[in-house]
Amino acid sequence: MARWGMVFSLARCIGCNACVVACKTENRLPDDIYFTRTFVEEVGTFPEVRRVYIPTLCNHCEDAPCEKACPSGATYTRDDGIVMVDQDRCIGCSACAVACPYDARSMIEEPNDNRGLFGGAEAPPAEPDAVDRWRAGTVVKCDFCSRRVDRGLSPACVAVCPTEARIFGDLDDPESAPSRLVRTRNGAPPLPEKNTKPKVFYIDY
Amino acid sequence: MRQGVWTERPPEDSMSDAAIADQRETGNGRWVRSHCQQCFNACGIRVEVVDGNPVRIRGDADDPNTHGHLCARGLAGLAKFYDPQRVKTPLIRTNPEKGRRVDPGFREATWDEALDLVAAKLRTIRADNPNKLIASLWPYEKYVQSSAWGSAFGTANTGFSFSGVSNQCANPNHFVGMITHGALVEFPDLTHCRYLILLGSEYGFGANQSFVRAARELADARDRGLKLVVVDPRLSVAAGKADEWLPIKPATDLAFLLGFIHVLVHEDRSYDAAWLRTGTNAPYLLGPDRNFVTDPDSGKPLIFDETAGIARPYDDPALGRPALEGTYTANGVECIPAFQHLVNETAGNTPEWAESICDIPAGTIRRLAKEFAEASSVGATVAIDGVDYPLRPACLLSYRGLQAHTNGTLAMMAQETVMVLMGALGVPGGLVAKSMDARRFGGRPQLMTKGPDGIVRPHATGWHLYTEFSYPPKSLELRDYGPLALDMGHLVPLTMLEPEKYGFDYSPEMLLIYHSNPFTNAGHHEVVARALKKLDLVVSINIYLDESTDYADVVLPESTYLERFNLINWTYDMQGLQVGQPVVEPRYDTRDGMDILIELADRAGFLFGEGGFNAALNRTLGLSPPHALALDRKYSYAEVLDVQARCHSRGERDLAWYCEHGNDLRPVAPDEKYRMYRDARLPLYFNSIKAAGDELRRNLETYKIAERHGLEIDTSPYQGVPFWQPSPVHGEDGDYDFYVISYKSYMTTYGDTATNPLLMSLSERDPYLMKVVINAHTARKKGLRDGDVVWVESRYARERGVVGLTEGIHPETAAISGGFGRFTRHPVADGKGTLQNAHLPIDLAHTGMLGGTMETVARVRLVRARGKDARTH
Repeated sequence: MARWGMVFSLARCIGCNACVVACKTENRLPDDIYFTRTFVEEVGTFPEVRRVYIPTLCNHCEDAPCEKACPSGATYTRDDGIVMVDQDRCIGCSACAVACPYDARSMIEEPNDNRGLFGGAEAPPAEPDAVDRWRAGTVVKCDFCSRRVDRGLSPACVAVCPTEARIFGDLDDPESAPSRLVRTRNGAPPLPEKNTKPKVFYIDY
Repeated sequence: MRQGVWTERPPEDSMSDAAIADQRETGNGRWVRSHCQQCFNACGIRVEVVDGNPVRIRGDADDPNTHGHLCARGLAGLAKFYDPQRVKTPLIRTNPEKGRRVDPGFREATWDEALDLVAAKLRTIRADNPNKLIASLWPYEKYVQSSAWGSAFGTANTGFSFSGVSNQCANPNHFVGMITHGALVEFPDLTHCRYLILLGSEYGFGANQSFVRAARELADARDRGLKLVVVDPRLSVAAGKADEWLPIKPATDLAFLLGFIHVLVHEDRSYDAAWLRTGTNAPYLLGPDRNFVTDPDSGKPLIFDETAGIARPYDDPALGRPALEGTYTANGVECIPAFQHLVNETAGNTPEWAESICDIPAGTIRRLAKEFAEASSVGATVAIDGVDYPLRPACLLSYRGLQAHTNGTLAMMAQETVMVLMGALGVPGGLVAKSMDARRFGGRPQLMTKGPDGIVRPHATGWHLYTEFSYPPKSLELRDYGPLALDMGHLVPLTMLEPEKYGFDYSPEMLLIYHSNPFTNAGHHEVVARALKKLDLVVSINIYLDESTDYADVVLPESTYLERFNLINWTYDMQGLQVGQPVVEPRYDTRDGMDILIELADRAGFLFGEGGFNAALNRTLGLSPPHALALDRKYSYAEVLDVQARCHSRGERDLAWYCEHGNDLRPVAPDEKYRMYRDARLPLYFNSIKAAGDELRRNLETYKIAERHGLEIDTSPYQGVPFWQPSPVHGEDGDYDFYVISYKSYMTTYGDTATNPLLMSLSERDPYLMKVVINAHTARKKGLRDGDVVWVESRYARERGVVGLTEGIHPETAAISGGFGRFTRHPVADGKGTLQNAHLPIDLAHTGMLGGTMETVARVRLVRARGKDARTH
């Protein structure tokens, strides 16, 4: 069994948001819900200044605080390490969102099935993978595109990334691309002091 | 093949055939291959269709140019298809009053009624004077084909007329690139390049050609240790990621490059002298008139032979070592090699002089020029497929930021001067040309030819590099007075308001706009609006109603790119074609824009025969029997493309083949990528520019254009070597204390993407994109804070904006992203962000007639809004 993880190269990320749009269309997320985002930070003062783009998503922590906080058992970890949300069991209490130090969980406020790109005016038809996917009153997040992963595909954000700044693979395989990058380029997890053991790492920072 | 450290790929490519088969089996829908048409780069896409509805767009992993990667625009493309604001049927105006936000009172019409109305006017005009039609045709993926329609009609006012790309594009890049080494567009050869200086360009970071591929290639090259230097007034995406950012004062890149050249030829003397002698016109002798001194017998330019001590024709087999420097006598006149002329002309352009103009420290210019020269590794070679090529792994690459100024063509000449000096054009590591040959339509790459003077002659299929002088002038862009202008479409609203002032003996009556919007493309809105109102008939082929359709009499609804056909090759180093095809049947009563043009040509009587649209398409697409359009048959556009596919595959593939397989792109051989100019010499001395200027001057005097019309056409830029010329914005309006610049982003294509709710929602979350961005220190001095609502005021417009502060911008500069500030009925686009081009004057003083540019920098001041104006919404 693989243990899926992701590596972000901060040198390669140019903040183009292809990942964000891929994620939103893959998962047919409501307007204000993002499973992955790219933050931009300016470093330095004129004229010695540069910019860093920081992609983020759910870190699929080994010790996931959201899973521990979940009172209903809706949040669980698959054998391959993907942290999932079972919407049938989610009671929308948001304990997970409070517990997550990465702000990776979002409450679906209202039904999604008739809200299209243009605010319901003329919605794209429901995508087969996304239909009935998001139930109002549940607190959801990135699942590494588990349905794609189960078909042997990489997550949508990884597949489209023009600079290949996102690398996805099996962290248990020492020769996988992410394992090697973490090893050779000082891969660092986000907020290590939180001791959540993320399966997402940053390199070239 | 990809090389380097970054060879790891994701465990699976995004959309392998196996995965698609798997998805089919699970009943999720069918995937249709096509290419994106939301900018002109034609990236391969796959669209999932369920129950006749497109539900998802992904990159096509079988596109060898993009490997399945796609940008935010491409991935968000469904919004275009599903937009409730689409025009669903032909529309005809009922309200005679035209004006900004004045409801035209459109009524629905049948295609027959609308087409007949338009065709009747076309017939009348064509019989009278075809120039009275302005055909403004700018569908990215087939603009050359649509321009052929204008040529077949017979109007001189076609292509980018009226709207112009002189604001959006980098016209000098195309013009100077073509005359220097046949490059419609230049690409850095990143497999070998180790040092890249970008000037006013986001190559590999956003806008510019082939973004999706270039982004990966440049990321790979940086990973391998390429040094990236970015010269830009603004900390662009490229600058923010660069090893060095040089904040330059807007529109002064020319001065920076002249300083750079000074270091190379005067201080460091680190150019490729051997190449200059044999591969360029640098040793050609110039007489006192700065024209070539030619052999009296053969008429061929002379070179001074240092070995023999005499002048000989450039191609004399007995020629010894050509002289680059010195003063000689030949044909009884004193003459100097072209290289010596460059040396003389740049003597005053020291880095210290450049610093005083462009604000980049002299020491930095000096250091960079030396680093660049060292990185160029003059003398090095590399063997590729058994052939030795010069290896010049250093590139200077500029685009709109450097070029879209009145002095932009001179600046582009300066860029090419550096590249010619180092022998870095068309070789591994240097700038490689995408040629304007039939390869774009599927044909084989064609070698460049050379003229009798031994100098390269570019292909210009479907393109013009030179406009003959005529008086009275024909072109409302004033190409007659600007023979080397690639496009001055922005001038048309100005000249058509007072045609007699410019010498015209006619006044235009009709405008056909296809996929263009003069209000977001051109300048000063009052001039554009007055011009639109003056026309008898304005016809718009459009997907939406926009700012310009408020002035249209007829709107013909176009299908979106997910409902149309296309066949193109936009790569620079591949052969073959890529298909665009309807993934579903067109929605509503819409048609492919090209089918609309075919229908209009038919009804107006210029589809058939030698002078018809079919014949024009044959020429443009390079179609020849047995695979050519019959001149007496009406084709659908899909049928035209079918003939194109058969022709260029020598009968092996038809359109259906491409629809099934997507593309047959494959890399060209190295000898079809490098040195396509072969033994033709490249110009260090731009003799064709000099000659065109001399002729223009004679013509202007002969026809007394200044006397008759009071027109001062500036012929001074037509020189053989670049020299400093300020932009008019440098000298004007002390009251307006900011230079306002505009830029492109990877989330926008001009104003076209502002209707996309996904992209707009992301743009609104960006800290800079929708703001008027200024330097934080400057803001403090002026008492402006982040988030302040201001009026951006110039002599031409007053627009609201929201201040954004950054450390990353030249202190006198304000930056506004292109693509926003729309004032249209579309609820997603309307009123968001700020429109920069409203501040650009439309006049001759702010037009670079050499090369064809519009000055895209304006002087503005920022005034804090008060009361209800200060509220953000």
